[in-house]
Amino acid sequence: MLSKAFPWARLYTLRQPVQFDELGELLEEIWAAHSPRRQPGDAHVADGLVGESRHIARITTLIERVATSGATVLITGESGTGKEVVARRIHHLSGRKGQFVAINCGAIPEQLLESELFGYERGAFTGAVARRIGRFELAHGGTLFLDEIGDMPMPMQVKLLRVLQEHVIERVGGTESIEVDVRIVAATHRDLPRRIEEGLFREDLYYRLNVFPIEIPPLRERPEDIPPLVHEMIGRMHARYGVRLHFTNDAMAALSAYSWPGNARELGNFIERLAVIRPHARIDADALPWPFRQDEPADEAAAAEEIVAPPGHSLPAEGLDLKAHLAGVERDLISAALERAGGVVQRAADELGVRRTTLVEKINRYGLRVRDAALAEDRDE
Amino acid sequence: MPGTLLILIVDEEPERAEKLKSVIEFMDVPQVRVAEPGNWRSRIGDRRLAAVFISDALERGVVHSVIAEVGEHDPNVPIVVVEKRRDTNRDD
Repeated sequence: MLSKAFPWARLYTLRQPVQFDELGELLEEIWAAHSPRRQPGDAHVADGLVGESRHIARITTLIERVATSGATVLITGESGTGKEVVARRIHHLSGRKGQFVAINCGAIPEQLLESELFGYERGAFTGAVARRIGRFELAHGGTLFLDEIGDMPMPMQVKLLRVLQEHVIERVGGTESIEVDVRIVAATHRDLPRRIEEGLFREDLYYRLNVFPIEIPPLRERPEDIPPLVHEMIGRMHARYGVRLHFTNDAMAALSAYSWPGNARELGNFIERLAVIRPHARIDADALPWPFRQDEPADEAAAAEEIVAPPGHSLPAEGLDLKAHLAGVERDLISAALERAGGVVQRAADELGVRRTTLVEKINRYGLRVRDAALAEDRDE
Repeated sequence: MPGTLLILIVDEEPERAEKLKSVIEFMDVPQVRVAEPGNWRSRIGDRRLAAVFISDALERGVVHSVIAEVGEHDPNVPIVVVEKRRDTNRDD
């Protein structure tokens, strides 16, 4: 078995004669493995921001104004508010022909970040067996999204500043200066002025990045956006799993009254979990778990149990897409295992009775966010 | 689909490789190249690999050697073994 000889490898098989549906599924998996990470809360990637609040209207206007200008944009907001969605929208409207390339500056160890951003020459370091171009070159003619810029190590901030000033990069181990035409969009959930005061962020870099600031308020400050977001997610769950959820007015009011500390991402995860465990359900306020039922005492353990409790295996009258449904269950269980394992992939793999390589492949396939540093490196390769 | 990523087909039999290339291109994949086991590195140049399709009609040692080389190049690149048999090595 090749998988035993090469346990690290992402191995697939393709039978001959080639079946188009089989090849199509395989190609989808291959592209998914290379796509920038996606979160369920990023519901509005294609169509722009979802919401009816004045905040969303203002952000939409700002995006339209700045998109074609080429100016550097700094997006701030709490985790899960949709900063990458805004960045993608800016790129989409910019008219730039190159790619949108994203990198999470906080997820990659300092020693790897430089080679990820700038690439490296063959022989630059042990294991550099061939030249490899970095994210700046990949984004040439397009947009480079520097996520979690507030967590970028200081030495890298110096190098980034130079690129922003001179528009040239040098690959690690190289001597050639390479001109790059890259539009920078950065984002952070950090308070950068405070990071500057603490000596953790360069003031000159801050001013270079903060040419056109866009702040995304947390969801709790714009509750009128919650129903449209819920409907957006319901539509996505219907497309993904073939299931249709329905919330009563009371349930929607309860969802709108909740503070959503994880913002749109938390809301997306919640709707997706419901779609998996209660497909085609009509959900009223009483069926919602704590903390949506404000009148009941807090019991987080019971709530967690409630929302992951097995729903039974009844077949909905409308039928369902079994493959998509099972994929949803698998994704949910992997998420739960990762959470229980504190993000340690090997421990989660042990809990699920699968090998780490198998779990890594599934994590990538489902675009799950993990805290495991080694895996983060793997995924951002 | 990531536009600049390359799908590489590694095979010693040009006709078979070109046939598979045509099928993959038919699926709207713009960047597909064919290489032999001994020259695949030079065939990709600076390009990033989306996946490597390797024929298991090649000698087993050659298949192992190419997979090991691809792993050295980038262990995250999906490797697709193109086989005729019904059994599967898929790591699921």
